Amino acid sequence: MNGASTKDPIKMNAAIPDGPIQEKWDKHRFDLKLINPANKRKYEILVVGTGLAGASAAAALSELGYKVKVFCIQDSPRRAHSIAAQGGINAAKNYPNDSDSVWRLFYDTVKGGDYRAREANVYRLAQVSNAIIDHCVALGVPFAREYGGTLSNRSFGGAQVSRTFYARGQTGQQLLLGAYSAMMRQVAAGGVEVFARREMVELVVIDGRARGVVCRNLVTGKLESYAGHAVLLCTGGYGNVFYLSTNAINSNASAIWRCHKKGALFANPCYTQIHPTCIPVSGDYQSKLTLMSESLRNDGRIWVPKKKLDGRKPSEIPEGERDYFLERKYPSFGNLVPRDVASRNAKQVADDGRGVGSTGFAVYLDFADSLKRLGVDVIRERYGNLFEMYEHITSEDPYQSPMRIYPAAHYTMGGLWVDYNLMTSIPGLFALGEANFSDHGANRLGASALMQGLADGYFIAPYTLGGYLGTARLDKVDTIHPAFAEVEGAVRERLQKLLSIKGKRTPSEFHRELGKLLWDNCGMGRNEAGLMKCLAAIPQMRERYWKEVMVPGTNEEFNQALERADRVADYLELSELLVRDALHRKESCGGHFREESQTEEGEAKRDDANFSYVGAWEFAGAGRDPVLHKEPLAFEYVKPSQRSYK
Amino acid sequence: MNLTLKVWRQKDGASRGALETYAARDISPDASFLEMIDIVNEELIREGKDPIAFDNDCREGICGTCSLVVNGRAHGPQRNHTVCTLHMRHFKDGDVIVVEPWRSRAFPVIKDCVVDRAALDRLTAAGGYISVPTGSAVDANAILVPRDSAEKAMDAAACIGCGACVAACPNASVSLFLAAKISQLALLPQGQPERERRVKAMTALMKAEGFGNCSWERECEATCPKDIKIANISRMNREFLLAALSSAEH
Amino acid sequence: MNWLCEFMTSSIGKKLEVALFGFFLCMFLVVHLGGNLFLWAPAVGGDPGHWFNLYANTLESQFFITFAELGLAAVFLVHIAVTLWVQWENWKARPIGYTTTAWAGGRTISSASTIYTGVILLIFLIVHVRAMRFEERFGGQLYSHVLHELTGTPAAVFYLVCMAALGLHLSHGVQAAARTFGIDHPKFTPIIEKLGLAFAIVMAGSFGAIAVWGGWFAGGKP
Repeated sequence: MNGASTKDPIKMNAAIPDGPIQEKWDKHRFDLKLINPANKRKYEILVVGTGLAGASAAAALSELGYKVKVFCIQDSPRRAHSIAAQGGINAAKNYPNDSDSVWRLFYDTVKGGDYRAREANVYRLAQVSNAIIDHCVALGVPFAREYGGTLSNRSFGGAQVSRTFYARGQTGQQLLLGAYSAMMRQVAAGGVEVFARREMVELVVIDGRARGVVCRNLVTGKLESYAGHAVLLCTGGYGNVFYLSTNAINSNASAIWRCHKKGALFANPCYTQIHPTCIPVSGDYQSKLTLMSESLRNDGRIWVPKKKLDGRKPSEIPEGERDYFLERKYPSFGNLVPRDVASRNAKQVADDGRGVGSTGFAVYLDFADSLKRLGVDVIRERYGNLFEMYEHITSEDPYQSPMRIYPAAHYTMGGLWVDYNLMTSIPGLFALGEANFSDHGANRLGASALMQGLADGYFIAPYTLGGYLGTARLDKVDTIHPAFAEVEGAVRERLQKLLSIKGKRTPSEFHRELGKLLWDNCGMGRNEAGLMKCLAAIPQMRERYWKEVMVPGTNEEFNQALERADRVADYLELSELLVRDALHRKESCGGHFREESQTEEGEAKRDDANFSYVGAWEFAGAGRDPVLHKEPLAFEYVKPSQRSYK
Repeated sequence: MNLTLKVWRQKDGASRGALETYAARDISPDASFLEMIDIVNEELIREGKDPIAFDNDCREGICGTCSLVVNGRAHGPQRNHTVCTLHMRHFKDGDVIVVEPWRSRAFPVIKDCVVDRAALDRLTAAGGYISVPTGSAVDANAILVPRDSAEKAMDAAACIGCGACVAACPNASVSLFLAAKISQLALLPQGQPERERRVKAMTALMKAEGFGNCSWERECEATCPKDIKIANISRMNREFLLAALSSAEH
Repeated sequence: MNWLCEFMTSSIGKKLEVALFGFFLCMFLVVHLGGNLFLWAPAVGGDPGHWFNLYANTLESQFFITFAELGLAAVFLVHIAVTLWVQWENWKARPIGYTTTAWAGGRTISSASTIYTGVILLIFLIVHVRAMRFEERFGGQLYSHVLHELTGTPAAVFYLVCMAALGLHLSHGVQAAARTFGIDHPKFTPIIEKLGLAFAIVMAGSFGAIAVWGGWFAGGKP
């Protein structure tokens, strides 16, 4: 028994296999029960979400013989937001011969996560990373190549080895299309059925096990029930709780949040990642923030004027009056410090009045030196599409003048608590990819999200799901079971309630208000006073929401306002848990920076004695405080130290 | 800036639609086109009216969800743009802007400017993949891909599947979308074993789905947000011809 | 033979047929123009039609001429019929059009008008064949017959309009046919495009020149 908890000890069994870390996964795979190939087709697996994790899991499971139903909110499974990942995917191939290894990738990931991840999970991630590259190449992913035809690698934020594989600035797109194509092959073969424009609105739990989902057909508004033997949540993170983030407009937290309310523990919600290189906010109308791959930091230099409120154009500021603050403070990593460090430093200089651009919330990312050193052609080859994107959005040419960048909410390391098998605390409910909490600790390294999504989908869940199905006694369940009607009824009631309020304010107005509150008080820097303020404000906002929101139309139609309203209602609940978690964790670690806990130099200061655990929250019912369960983290292989990138 | 929008409104697939006029007031030139519609929609919602339905998601030009025909051009007037990355600075104060959905028999309207593009998924399912079961891949560097082929494959693979090529084609042909995938896989060594099967299966479906035929008008190429070239269609035709002539069926 | 049927009726297959038979028609144009150039051959013994009549009568007395004519008719028929089929499918593919249309810069006048120039050429074909092939022809004096048909402003204008249509049709058709056959290469495509344009200009220009000559300058001569 690995977890200590205050209430239900069984829920927190992380199920980490015994033995040396290098052998755990092999041993576990041997220990997992197998299912007779002929019996696999009798199992129906419901996969929610078609990003890297969902599409790869659906493909791999169908290849094994399971019957898979896949649901996505987009009009096509190919559009999941994994597609927007730019920079690359890590693997421990050591092709560049620069001393990389599974062990080093494992070490870097645990350290990069600021010692708040589970060692066994991270080791397994590093172990399967190579197989991911092999498989993606076999699927036809057009990774960058050297002239000799071998794969090309680059180094990426926070890593001192070149272990990142990439396809121009569209790596996420290419990996997703690879997984999507593998899944579509299974669609043609009859093993996978895709249900597009369906939003999972509720989980169905029967006899304590996840046995189905209720989806809203976004075209007709009809509620549809689907029964299965297990449910895989691959629905991504909750970054859109901040309203402005790099996530897609429709990325949302409703699926994981509703599963949380059905009993799945929610781990480390306060671990949110703010990405340092995004295009700054330009006005109130802004609906999203656009990320520029942090690979840009390989050749771009970040600076601000030394003088406060320096209104000069960048070209007019002489070299001596520029502050290359990352290079100055972190001479060995320079512009390549991990995301949290880069983001926080940008915030510090902006708060200091040295930010640039019309709002003052931006710093320069300058390519002048690289252009001089490497020439326009090399820079265009490496970053051409990113430069183009920047120019599209800002109408400024980064070949001529430095980019302006600023941090933005990007990724959430927190998510549903899962055990070593990626199963949540509800048996039969698995969470894969960004939806779970497992591998990145308090901070995710660049190019590791794609790795994790595909590891979970292609190479982990297909094994561990079999282990669950092989041992669980699962009675036959279909959608005539009364639990489905009951859940459908509750969903219908909730939607009707939203539609009947007929207030004066739009769902987006509330969302914007919530986002600003969180960004200011629970974003890059957090302190007790600000968090307490949020904790008081959010319930009030929620109450106002359910009195003042305006949702036109009916449920029985294509109704985007209703979709949004339903999701915002969940953000108004989830945000409170996020704040509560941030408040309880009185240390700084990774993306969670408590201003009360910093070193004299202003760096994040962990408190291993008191906070070396996973904080997993249990929903205790509406209006009740959630219950915290703690899964202690043991570091047997990577000894925690204060991260230093000096 | 202030603008007049004429937007296609259609309750659902079974209803008839028509253009309706809306005013967009106080729009910042730095706002994106979709943010401009957001502003109009917020106003409509506040009034309890049905907001304009339109597909959108990533809003950074990569997911391929957004699909508006602006003043007769799929994705609007800017070359190599999706409509979500089109900014209002490209319009003038007082402009009248006509907004319509993709038009094709294969893309039926769901509501307003939202269409059903599932046909593109079915085309992919017909053969837009390499059949390699998870776990059976060789070491990634065991497959050498000449850099030039990899680059060309990547040019084709950049397709975001938005369907603007269909919307822009005078014949509503899906050739560019199809050719991009067929080209990508034909250019890579991994794609060779299924080369003939793929081109035949995928092109056969394009007719069945009700798309038109390519007559080299090049509107697709001029509209494609990812600048995918019609050379890919030539390659598809070449693949098709070779497959038809050389395969052993009878 | 199932595969052949599938191939011939497939989307690309049909375009290949149009392109292939279009190519045959281009060959025919070359031959036709070659024959027409005899109109301008030097007079022999005061007879300007000597060479042309000799050429025409020799050609028409060949045993294969009927087969050749039937073959040519078939080529025209396939090119036209398959194009109409393809066009009908294209129109069907967009049952509801746009209220506003603006082209993105891919279309050219010639590509946009190919189907219409094709229809003009079909009308021309009917008129031309009826006039040149099926009317009473002054007993072997084809030269005189041609002049008779061409002389006068209405005829010249009709011919010129149709030859302009031919030029437009070819300037898109030749390069499109090459692409349909999959001939596309960064090095050679620009050359093919230029050759296609040159061919269109030479054909339309030469036949047009004959129309001008016949319409306004050669008239009145015996």
